[in-house]
Amino acid sequence: MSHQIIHVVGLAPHVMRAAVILRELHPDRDIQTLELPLLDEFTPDMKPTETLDRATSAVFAACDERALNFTRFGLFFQLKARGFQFVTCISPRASMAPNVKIGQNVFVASGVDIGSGATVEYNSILRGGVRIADGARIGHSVYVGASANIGVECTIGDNSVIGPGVLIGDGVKVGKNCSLMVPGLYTKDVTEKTFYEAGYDGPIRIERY
Amino acid sequence: MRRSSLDYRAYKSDAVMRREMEIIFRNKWIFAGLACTLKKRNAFFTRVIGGVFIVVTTPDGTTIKAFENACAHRQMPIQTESFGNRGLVCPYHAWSYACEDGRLKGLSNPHLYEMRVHEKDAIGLREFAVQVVGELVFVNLANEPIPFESQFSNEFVEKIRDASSYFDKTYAYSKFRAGYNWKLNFENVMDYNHVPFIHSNSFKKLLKEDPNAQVRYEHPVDVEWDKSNRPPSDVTLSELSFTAVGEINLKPRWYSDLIRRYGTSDAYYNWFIFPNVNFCSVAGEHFLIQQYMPVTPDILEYHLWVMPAERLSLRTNFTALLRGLMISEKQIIDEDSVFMEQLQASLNPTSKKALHGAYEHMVYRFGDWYSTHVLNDEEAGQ
Repeated sequence: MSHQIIHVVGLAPHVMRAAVILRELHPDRDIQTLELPLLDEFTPDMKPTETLDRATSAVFAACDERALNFTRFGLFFQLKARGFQFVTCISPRASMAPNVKIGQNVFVASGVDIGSGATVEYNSILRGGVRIADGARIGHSVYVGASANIGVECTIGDNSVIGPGVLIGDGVKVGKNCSLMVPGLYTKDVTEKTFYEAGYDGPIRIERY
Repeated sequence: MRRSSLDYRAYKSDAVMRREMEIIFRNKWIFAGLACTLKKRNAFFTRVIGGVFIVVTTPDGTTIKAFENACAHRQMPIQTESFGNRGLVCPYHAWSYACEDGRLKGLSNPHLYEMRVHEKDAIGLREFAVQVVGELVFVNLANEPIPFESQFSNEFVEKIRDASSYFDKTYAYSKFRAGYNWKLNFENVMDYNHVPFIHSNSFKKLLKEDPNAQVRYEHPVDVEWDKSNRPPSDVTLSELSFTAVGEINLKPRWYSDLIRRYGTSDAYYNWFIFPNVNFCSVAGEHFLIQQYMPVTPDILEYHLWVMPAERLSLRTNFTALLRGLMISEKQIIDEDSVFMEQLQASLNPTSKKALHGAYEHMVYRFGDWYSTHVLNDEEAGQ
């Protein structure tokens, strides 16, 4: 079923960015925006969404990578739990092989190139100029920064953040909940909950005992 | 006001650093890591203390042992990673050692060595003294370690034991280097009056949106100002580790209600652990252990552990929080580093000794002890 109204719900300025692309993609549909206030740095106030009607409108949840993408995941999950249908937001200026699989609520910016057989799971963001090589798998709620390059048959785990310009070598597996914010070429697998952040000599390790 | 006992040589001289390695880092109790990382058999972490490579490990998940991380054969480090779970087997020629006491257990290709039984029995890793306080592990590299109680008062030990009992079971760790002497950092963290000038913006974000909200920059509430004119030689080692509690008026954070808080929400707790650790907690909601290890007189290696207070529900996920805390702590340290590196670079033979006010009494007491025990007469200068 194709809803006449699409509500772009989330945080500024991501709501406007998505709305611009969606208006271009769906000139026949009513694209409305709903910016949510923040209760704290990471938690949007969902009250304004109570007026939305899932029978008449689909939604796109727009948010950045804050809190390791958990804020966006929370927003997506709460709307999903209320039965809303989601749209994808794929720039007409992105290029994709025909057999690429794209999940719900995925944002693909202008200039993104996705190779044959690649998968991008729900709620992920690919910023401008990102290249996803053949057979790569991007997990759910992942954020890939501008001009990053994900190699052939790579796996990026759920919730991970890949920084702008980062290069992931062919076949490398990045675990869940990682952040690779130091520019450069990553040629070895990265275990889950490992953070490469600017200023540290090595990875930040998160351990649970 | 009074002058510091330390002149530029305490911060710049290779000879002084060699002496502090001998007198402090290879002789006193030094914080080494967290006991909670050693809950599984053969779990280990490695450190370099006083230039000595050490491995801290456990044979059974309960007993904690510290050994020199150097194989008796060719002195190769036995554990090459910072953390892990692996027996004491040298990666170079597979000599293996008992985790219980460091004795040589076995070796591959024994016929090549023609080692006699009595020779094998005499081979083992050098073992160091270990003291565990709550979740904090201290080691002492001396052949005859000083009593732990002579370095830390019982009251102080109980405070850090109690605070560490609030740690969550998840923590973050990393390290980096900075271009200044480790003592400048210890002096800087004890000097809370720099906060409004260097960290005004970073702290402002945390404060309540009340125009009167601020970090209270008066002297910590539970430390008496020591304005006496005691001679430097009177300063005791145990008084250099102490607690300081400041006031802070923070906005509630998203995890404030999800943790078992230590103390009260309006307090900024600091436990200064001699010689090089600042263990602190912001509002009892998360804990931070900063340790500054000397590398050269001009370079320190900063080790950083961050952990939230214990979560009330196992369903709470603190991964994103830990990442955020590590990033924000690094930003605050970077704000300090800009000034510390300039200060380090500017120290020279014509520099006067620092002039300290009353609120800096612990800074000059530290200098007094250091000048008495580390500097020899010639280097103590005037």
